[in-house]
Amino acid sequence: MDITNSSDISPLSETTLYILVSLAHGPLHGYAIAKEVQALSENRVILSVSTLYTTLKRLLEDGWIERVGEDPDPDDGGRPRKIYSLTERGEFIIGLEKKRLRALLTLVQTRTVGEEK
Amino acid sequence: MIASIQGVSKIYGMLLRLFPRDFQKEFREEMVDVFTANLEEAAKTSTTLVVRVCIFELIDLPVNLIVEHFSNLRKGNFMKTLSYEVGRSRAVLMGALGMGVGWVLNNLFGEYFSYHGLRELPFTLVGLILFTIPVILCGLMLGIAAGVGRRAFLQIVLWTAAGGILGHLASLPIRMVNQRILNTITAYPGSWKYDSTYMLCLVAVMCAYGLFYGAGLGLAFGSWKACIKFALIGMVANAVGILVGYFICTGVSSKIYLSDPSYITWSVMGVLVGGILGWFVGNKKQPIADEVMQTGSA
Repeated sequence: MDITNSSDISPLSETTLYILVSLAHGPLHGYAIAKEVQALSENRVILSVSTLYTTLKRLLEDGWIERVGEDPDPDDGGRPRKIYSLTERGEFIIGLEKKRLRALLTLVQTRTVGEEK
Repeated sequence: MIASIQGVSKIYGMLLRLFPRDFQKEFREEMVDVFTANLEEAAKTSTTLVVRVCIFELIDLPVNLIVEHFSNLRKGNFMKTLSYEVGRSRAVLMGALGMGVGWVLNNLFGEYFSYHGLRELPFTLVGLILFTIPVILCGLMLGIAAGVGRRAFLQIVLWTAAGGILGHLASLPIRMVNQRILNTITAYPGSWKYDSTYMLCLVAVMCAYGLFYGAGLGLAFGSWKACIKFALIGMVANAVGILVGYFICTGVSSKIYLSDPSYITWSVMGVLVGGILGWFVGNKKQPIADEVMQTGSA
């Protein structure tokens, strides 16, 4: 698969972007992703479990994230938790989104610079 | 609080069964774990927060269910899922019908034989045959629902008949003891003491019967694991079924007396028990069918 193919990428939803960004610093399990998203968004985005996992499923299918194993020592001594990580394609998508948002910001700043004064 | 959290998590786990099967297989356990962790964390703050977490999940769940089912439909998995669900519903219906009709036949034949004076002793061959009817019929119907091969039907008849006969034999000592107890009770039949003793015996009889015919059905469907599972299901479901049947019937008609479990009571129990067994057979429909096919043709 050509990871740089961006023809079918539409702007990411807030949930998708936050999940991808939460994985940018390293692999995490599902619960940690939800907590990271909450922290990154300063408690503005709180993911329900079903939203988290339906999104993770879509990202796995699109090849933007992957499972990289299981947490061998879960905190509560329960079942081992599956760990998710960004793929190269996922990193590329974040880069694209960053460019898009930057361009958008530049546009907004240029157009509204007079109004701000 | 821990027990409540576990209970809520179990309910959440059951709700997740509404997702498409592939999704459940991949994420259900993980989702329950994360949900439980969320609840545990919320419980450290307050009970109100636990309730808020639950409400938040409940609001989001239907939307995600619809999205996931549509995504499944787009990928062409919908028909596969639908066909599985239809198969399972069919197994439930067939099981319920088999056991329900079986008990009606048991009662009809019982009346006929009683009329001709052939069923005066509980040990008679007639009694053994009568008690095997529901379970054989249920087994055959479940066999059809599970799509087993023709040769496997003989195996089903043999195992279920053995289970039915053993179950009936196991229930005889309980009946005998009960009869002695009832004889010592001076109150008239119909009194509370008489009825509760009779009911207790009936539940015990059905437990013993269900344990053995369940085991027979389990063996008919291929494995020792199924044997143990079905024996436990038969035991519990039979006892619950007779109580449910009785309470429904007494609610419907005052003419039905405790000391004389009616056709309807037995049939309601049969429908309930057969349906539950059908659910389990339907859940493992393909593997069980394959196993019986292999054993049947061996």
